[in-house]
Amino acid sequence: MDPFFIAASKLRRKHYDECIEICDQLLAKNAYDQAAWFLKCRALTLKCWIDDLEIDEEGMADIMLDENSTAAVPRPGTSIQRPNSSASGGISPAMRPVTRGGRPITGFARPGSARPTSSSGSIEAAIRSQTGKPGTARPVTSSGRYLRLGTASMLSTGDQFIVADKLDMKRMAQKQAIAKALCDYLIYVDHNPKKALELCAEATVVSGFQDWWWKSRLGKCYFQLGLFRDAQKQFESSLKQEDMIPTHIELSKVYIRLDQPNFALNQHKKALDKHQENENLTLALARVNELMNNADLAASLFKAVLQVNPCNIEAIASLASHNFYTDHPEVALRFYRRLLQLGISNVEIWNNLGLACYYAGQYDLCMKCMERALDADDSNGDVWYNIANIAIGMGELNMAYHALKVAVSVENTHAEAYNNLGVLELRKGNVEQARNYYQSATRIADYLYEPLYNSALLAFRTGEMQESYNLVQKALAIFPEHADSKELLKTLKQHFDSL
Amino acid sequence: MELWTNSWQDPVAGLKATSACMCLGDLKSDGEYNLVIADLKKKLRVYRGTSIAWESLLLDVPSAVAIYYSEIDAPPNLAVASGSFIFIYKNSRPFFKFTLPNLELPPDEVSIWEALKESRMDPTEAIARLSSLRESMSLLSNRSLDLLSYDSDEERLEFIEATKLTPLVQNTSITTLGVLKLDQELENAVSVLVIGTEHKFLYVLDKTGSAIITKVVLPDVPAFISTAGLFSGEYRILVACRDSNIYTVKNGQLMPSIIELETHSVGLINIDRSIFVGSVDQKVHCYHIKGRKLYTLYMPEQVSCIEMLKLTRARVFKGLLVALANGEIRLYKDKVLLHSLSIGETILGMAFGSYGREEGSLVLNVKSGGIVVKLIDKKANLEGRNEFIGPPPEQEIPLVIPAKSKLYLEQVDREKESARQMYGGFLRDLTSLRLRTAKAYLQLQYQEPTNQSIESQLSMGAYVQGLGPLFTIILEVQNQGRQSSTDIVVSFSYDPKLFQILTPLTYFPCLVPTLKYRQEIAVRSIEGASENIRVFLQNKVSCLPIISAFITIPGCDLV
Repeated sequence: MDPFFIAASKLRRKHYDECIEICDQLLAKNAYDQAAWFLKCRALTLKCWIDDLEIDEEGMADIMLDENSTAAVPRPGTSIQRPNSSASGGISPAMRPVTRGGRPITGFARPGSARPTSSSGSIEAAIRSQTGKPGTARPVTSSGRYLRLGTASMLSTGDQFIVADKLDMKRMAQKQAIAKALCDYLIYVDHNPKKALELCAEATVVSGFQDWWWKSRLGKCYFQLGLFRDAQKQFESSLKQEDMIPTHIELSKVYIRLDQPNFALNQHKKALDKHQENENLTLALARVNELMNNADLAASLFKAVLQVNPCNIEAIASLASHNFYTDHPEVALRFYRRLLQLGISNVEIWNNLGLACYYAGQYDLCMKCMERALDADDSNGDVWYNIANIAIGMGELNMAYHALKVAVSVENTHAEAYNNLGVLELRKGNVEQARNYYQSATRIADYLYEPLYNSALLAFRTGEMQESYNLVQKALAIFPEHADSKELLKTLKQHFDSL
Repeated sequence: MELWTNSWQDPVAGLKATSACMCLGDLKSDGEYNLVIADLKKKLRVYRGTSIAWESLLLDVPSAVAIYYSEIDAPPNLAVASGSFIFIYKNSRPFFKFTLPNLELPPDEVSIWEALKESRMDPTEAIARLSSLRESMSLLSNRSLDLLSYDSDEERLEFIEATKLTPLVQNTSITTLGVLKLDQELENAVSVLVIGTEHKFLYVLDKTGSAIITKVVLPDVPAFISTAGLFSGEYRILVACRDSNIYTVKNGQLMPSIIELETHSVGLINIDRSIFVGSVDQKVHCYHIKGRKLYTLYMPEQVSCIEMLKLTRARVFKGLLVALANGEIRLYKDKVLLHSLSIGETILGMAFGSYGREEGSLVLNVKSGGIVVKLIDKKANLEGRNEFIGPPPEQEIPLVIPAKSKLYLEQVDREKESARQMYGGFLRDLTSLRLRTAKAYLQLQYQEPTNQSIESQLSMGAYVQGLGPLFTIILEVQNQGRQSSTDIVVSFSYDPKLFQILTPLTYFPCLVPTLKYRQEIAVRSIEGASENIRVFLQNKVSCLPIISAFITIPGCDLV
């Protein structure tokens, strides 16, 4: 059989390595075999393909050198930095814990959802969040991230297949099919958006500025280079020619990076009008709504996604956590069980199942789930923290104390655990110890209001009124509607008035 | 329903007047009520309708204005208190000036100044005697006090030379005015003026305003006056003084009962048999006229002035108007808040009464100098509202509790049916989990590094900063014990292929309790990999490290 035909068939069957091998042999025979070259290029690209519609992580440098920030204090509801406050139906931090970035926790871990982004404004928070668990280090730049994702595959391919710097882009752009394959290779394998941009620019000229594909690739290159306004122009122009779903999603990603979530929402809605009930679009819309703290809206969109695709893991997980935090743990339990049935069995699932069981009153299953979670990974701080929470709920304070101690030893940046340890120490009467724990909790996580309020209360009880006042002001800055803090502030004010 | 309607306003009137310097009255007896404002910039202005009727300059800063009738069926008098004088205007023309009597000075002081005038006494001796007089007695003339306030003898001599020939008189100044009805309770009945002075006197003038008919010595300087009753019959004059007490003068006698406020007062009015006094601690207190405390109204902001609202309809309605520092005006009937209105600007002065031909006008002087006139709605039903009794309306609003799902009910049924098995399983699992936790904790105590040592009470916090390949480990060590520790060495355990520690030796010579010690350690990542570094604190006594901690150095892209 013709080896080229076999190679093409292997590519179709997603046996990329074998395909590359055959192409290598073909190219060794004839180095100018364009068909083989094309096939190898495709195979390499597909092997390294990542769905970058979903992965969008901002690098360190992007945050520090963010030139796109416009209003320092935007109106609430118009920016990711200031989403709708809980007063207008958003999520209250009392009901839903927050992530390291100070955002309400989501049901599905996505890049950017757990970390501060450029729109959240604090460089310091971004740097500090790097010191978390191993493997969560933030890349220096967003292209650095792609580079690191790429290195593994590069090593396996051995020598470099295409040396981008030596290519004459003008000549390459003449051959449309090869140029397209090369462009994808440059973006996805070589991670060289600069060269890819050069190629795209030449190719659009060749196509007389009429090819939507080149325009959208041009936009992607601009996006990776951080030139968001240029990217926006290219995507818009591409959409005018051909209405494609990925282009819509990429355009709204640009808006998100520019901190214009309302534009992103509009873009998604426009796209949904045309491509009705599209799973990806609905999911993207739900994500933006979640970013904006519109939890109820996001939940209804996730439900819509499930109607189209009942196996969508992100939608199931998001709905599960939404139900859990809106006081329906028994429904959350169903969703988590569904995830388990879909074949996901990791420490997080067992942990969530255990919590859902506990809050739904299924006490016989709850402990088993927590033990399963420990079996899966007993060095996960969150699991121990949740065990401690359950123990506190049952009044087993000794066990809770032990579990919290283990939690902070396996994860010494677990601020919530430090806070709870402080409360337990205070119950034992160790005031100094408690104060130390609160202080470390505050130092690790300045987005938590609980340790601040607890230290304020402690300072108030030990008679340090001014200290207490300062702390409670900080707590209220994080969570302005916290009733206990308000009450404490009122008491302090009365105290100061009477002086 | 809106209680107040806008009548007119002049935002650029440029006046500054407190409530005491504002009053409303029918100055010409033609049924058209005027607004009198004595501006603090020595200007008297009378508004009629929407225009200025007349304006007059004053010699001194006014302290109060009052309108009173000196005879029946004649235009009323307008009294303006300024310095130690009361200027009385009638028919828009200056009519009469009353000067308060000079104070009697101690005879010793008078004789000293007499001697100085005739140069019979040595000035230095006079100064010495005056200062001893000041020590022994409370009241000296301003001139003596001025003299004693100079530092050098030369200046004192100069002062004596300059002033000794002028006669020694001591003027007082008026702090507040009140009006007391003479023998009838009508609105335009003949009344007399009540004057409070800086030297703690309370005078009542006769109806022509030319002679003092009653004089009372108060314990402190009066700030606000409120009157009740008839002068010819029985009367009370309530005086809020600067010592934050309220004294009562009944029929010319100072009563022994004193209302003691906790803080200074900002206004005093009496409505029927209740006294309302606003205080600077955001409260309005209500007392019975005999001194018994009735209740306190708590305000969200500082009270700037209070005023009585009186409307004569089918029934006479009397309420309390309270102006707050944030520009809010509240209307109370007894304890019930009937209405609240926000002006949005701090209110300096407030007067309520008839203006133009309308009964029920509220005149406000705001901080920017403007004048705002509001009119009470004629159809407003104020009577019906004060019958409000019972729990606050919030109590009726149900809490939002999410409905329990069907799933929940099914689970409850399951629990009912198999309670025994469930409980058994739960107990077994709980014991197992408890054992596991305890085991993990025990292991932690023996093997795992802790950043909290038990014996020496040191605690260490370590975290990493930087983007790589150069990182900084920040060590924060705190001695939480009672004794200081000495000679603490910091040592590290790491893979030399991966990291290079650039800070040569880290050492804490002495750790004093409760202080926080900070050390920065520079680390270079050679491979860019993410790996742990162990940090130990050691002393020379023990072979085991005091504390150890794992520090995770994050991976980095650029090496």
